[in-house]
Amino acid sequence: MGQKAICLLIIAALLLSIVPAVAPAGPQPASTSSSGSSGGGGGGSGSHLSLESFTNYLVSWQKENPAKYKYMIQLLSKGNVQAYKDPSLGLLFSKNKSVNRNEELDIKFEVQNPNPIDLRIPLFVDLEVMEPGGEGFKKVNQNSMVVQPFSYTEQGKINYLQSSWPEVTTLDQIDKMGLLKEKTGEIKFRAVYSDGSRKKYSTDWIFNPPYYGVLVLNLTNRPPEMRNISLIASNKTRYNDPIEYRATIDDADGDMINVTLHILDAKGEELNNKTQRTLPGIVSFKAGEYGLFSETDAGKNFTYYYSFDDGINSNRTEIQPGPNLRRGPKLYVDRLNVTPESSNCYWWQWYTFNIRAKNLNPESYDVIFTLLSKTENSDWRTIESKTVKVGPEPQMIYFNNTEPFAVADANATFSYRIKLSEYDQNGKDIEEAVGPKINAKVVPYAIYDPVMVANLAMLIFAIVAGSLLLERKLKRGSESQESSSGKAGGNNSRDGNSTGNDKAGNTSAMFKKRD
Amino acid sequence: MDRFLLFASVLAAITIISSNGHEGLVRSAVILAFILVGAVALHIYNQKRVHKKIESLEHCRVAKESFYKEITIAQGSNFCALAFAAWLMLFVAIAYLYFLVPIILPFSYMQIPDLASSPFGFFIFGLKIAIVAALVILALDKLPESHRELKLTELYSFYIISKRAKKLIALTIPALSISIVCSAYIGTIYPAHSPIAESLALILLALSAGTLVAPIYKDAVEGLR
Repeated sequence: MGQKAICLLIIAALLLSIVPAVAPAGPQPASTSSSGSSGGGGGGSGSHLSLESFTNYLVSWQKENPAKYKYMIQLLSKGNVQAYKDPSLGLLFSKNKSVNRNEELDIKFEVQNPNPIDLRIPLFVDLEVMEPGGEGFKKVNQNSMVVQPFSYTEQGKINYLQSSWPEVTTLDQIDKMGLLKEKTGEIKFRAVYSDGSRKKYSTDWIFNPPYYGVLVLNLTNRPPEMRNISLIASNKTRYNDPIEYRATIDDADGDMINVTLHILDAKGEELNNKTQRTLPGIVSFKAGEYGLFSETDAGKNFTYYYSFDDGINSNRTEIQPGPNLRRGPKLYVDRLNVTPESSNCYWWQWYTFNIRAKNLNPESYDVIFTLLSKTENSDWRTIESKTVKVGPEPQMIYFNNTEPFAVADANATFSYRIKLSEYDQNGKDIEEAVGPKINAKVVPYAIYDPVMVANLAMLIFAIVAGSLLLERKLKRGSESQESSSGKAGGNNSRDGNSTGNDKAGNTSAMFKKRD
Repeated sequence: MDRFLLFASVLAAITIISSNGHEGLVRSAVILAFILVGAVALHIYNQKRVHKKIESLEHCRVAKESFYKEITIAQGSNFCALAFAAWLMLFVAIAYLYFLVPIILPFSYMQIPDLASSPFGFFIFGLKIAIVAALVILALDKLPESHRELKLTELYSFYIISKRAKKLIALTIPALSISIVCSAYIGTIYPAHSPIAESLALILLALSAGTLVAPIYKDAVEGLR
C-alpha cells in the first residue's frame, strides 16, 4: 500500500508538471484564473497546480472529455499502465497423452509474471475442457486457483508459479460433471486467468512440450471382458437350494461395469434379469438373494447369459446351460426325539434317535436322513445316515442303538440334528434339538469288572516280575555282599540276617555294632 | 516295640494325621514328599557322618570308594528284588492316589479321556509310571562308586536291617497293591468321591512309605545319640 501511495504521489507530481501544458487545451475552470496567483499554472512559467485546481480539471474532463478522464482514473488506480506486462499462462503435462478415464491426469499450470511485486495483481486461474467433437470450452474446476502477488518463485528475472487444480483428478470425474458427452476421442484443455477486469487464455502464448497452450489428450477405452463363467449348484438342484452364478469380469481401464444376468427358460425366452454395478473382479449372483426361482420352477430347465458394459463398450456372453431344477417332495417332519439306553446317560451307552416324516404331495420320494450330534466339547459329527422312501403316510424314522459320544463328551450337554435331503414344511433341511446332559463319569468299568481286575493284576505282576528280573541282572543283593565280604569272604548274609557281626575286620563295622 | 516299626508308624501317622478331608489329601501329599525328600537328605547325611567318624578314628583320609566298599552289607537278592518292587509300587501308588483324579494338580489321568476310557488305561498309566521310576533308579545306579549312597538299588545295603524289618518291607508290596486298588476304585467312580477308599489308600500308602524309609530315619536318630 505504501509503495502504491508513493507511486501515486510520483504520478501526481508528474501531472503537476504536465497540467500547464494541457490546461490551455481544455476548458478553463472559473476558479483557475482566480487562483492563478495563489499557486495555479506551472511548467515553464514556474507556477504550481493546486489540488483544488486539479480536482476542478478532473470534474470538467469527466463531462467534456470522458476518454481523457478514463485514462487519468486508470492511471491513478493502476499506476504506470505502460509498465505493467501481462503474466503468461501455460499448461504443464508430462505424461502419455493417450489416457483412459481412470488414469490420474496430473494437469498443472504455470504462470510467469514479469512484473515487480508492487505491480502484480491477484490472478484467478481456471481449467477449461472441450469434449471430443465439442465446439466450446467449459470450465472444469468449481473453485478457481488464486495466484497471489507474493506466491511466485523468483528465478533470475522470471517470477513463476506451478500449481494444479486438486479437484481435477481423472477424466471419469470430469465425465461425472457432465462435461464429456462423447466417451472417447480428443479432449482439449486450456487454462484461463482473470485479474478482475480482463481474461487471458493459455492459447494466447506459444509453448513447447511439456508446456501447452492447448493440451490435447486422446481418451481411449478398453472394453470389459468376462471369463470363468460358472454355475455353482449341486447335481440334483432344487429351486430353493443354494445356486450361485459366478464369473470374473475384467476391465483394463478399471472402469465400473454393469453386469446383467439374464435367465432364460427352455425355449430361450428371457424370464428374469438382474444387474450389478461392480468394479472388475468376481461377480456373483445368488439365486436366493435375488429370488430367481420359485416353487413353480421345480422340474424345469434353464439357461443363462451375461451382458456387460463399462458405459462405453458393451458385450455379452454365449448362452450357458443350467440350472436344471428337479422336482422333490414337500416334506413335513416332527417328533424329533432321543431315548438314552438308561437314565444315567453315560457317554458309552446306546442312544436311539427318531423323527416322524411324511410327504405332503401324493407321490413317494427317497429322502436321506443324516443324524449328527455335538457337545460343548466337540463339533458336529455324523453318526448315521439312511435313505427312506417317504410317502403321504406319516412314518417314524429310527436311528437305533447308536453310540454317538466319546469320552471327551462326559459331563457335557449334547445337541443332535437330523439333516434332510429335502426341505421341510418350514423351508429348512435341518431339524435340531438339545438332549440331556451326559453323565460326568469317565471310566466305563467298575472296580470289580474283569477288565479292571485284569488291569491291576497285570500292573502288580509286571512291577514285581520286572523287579525280580532287574535284580537278577543287577545282582545288587549279592554284589554288596561280595564287596563287603572281600575280607570276610563268603556270602553268608544272603539270607538277610545281618546284624553287623559279619563285617568283622573293618572299622566301619564298629560303628554298625553300636546297635 | 521294635524301633523300626516305631519309626515306620510315626512317619505314617504324621502323614495320615495331616490329612483331613479332601484338602487334607493335598496336605498329606506335601508331608509325604517332605518325608521322602527328608529320607534322601538324611541318608546322605548318615553316610557322611559315618565317613567322617571313620576318618577320625583311622587318622587318615579314607576314599569314599573304599568306605562304601567296606560299609555295605549284602542284603540278599530276594530282599533287594522285593525292595525294588516295593519302591516302584510306592511311586505307582502315589501316582494313582494323587494323579488319577484331579486332586492336587488341575491335570490328571482323567484329563486324558482316551486313556481313561481305554480298557487298559489303568494298566498303561501304572506301567508308564513304573517304567519312568525304574529308569530313574537305573540311571542313578550308573553313578560312580564315590556316589553309591545315591543308588536306590543299594539303599538298604548301608543299613543293618533285621529279619523282621525285611518282612515288613516285603509286606509293603501287598499293602501298596491294596492302596493302588483303592485309588483305582476312586478313579472308576470319578467324579464321585469315596472318603473311605481315599483314607484306606492313603493309610496304606503312608504306612508303606514310612516302612520303606524307616531304616534311614532310625539310623539318623540313633546316630545323634
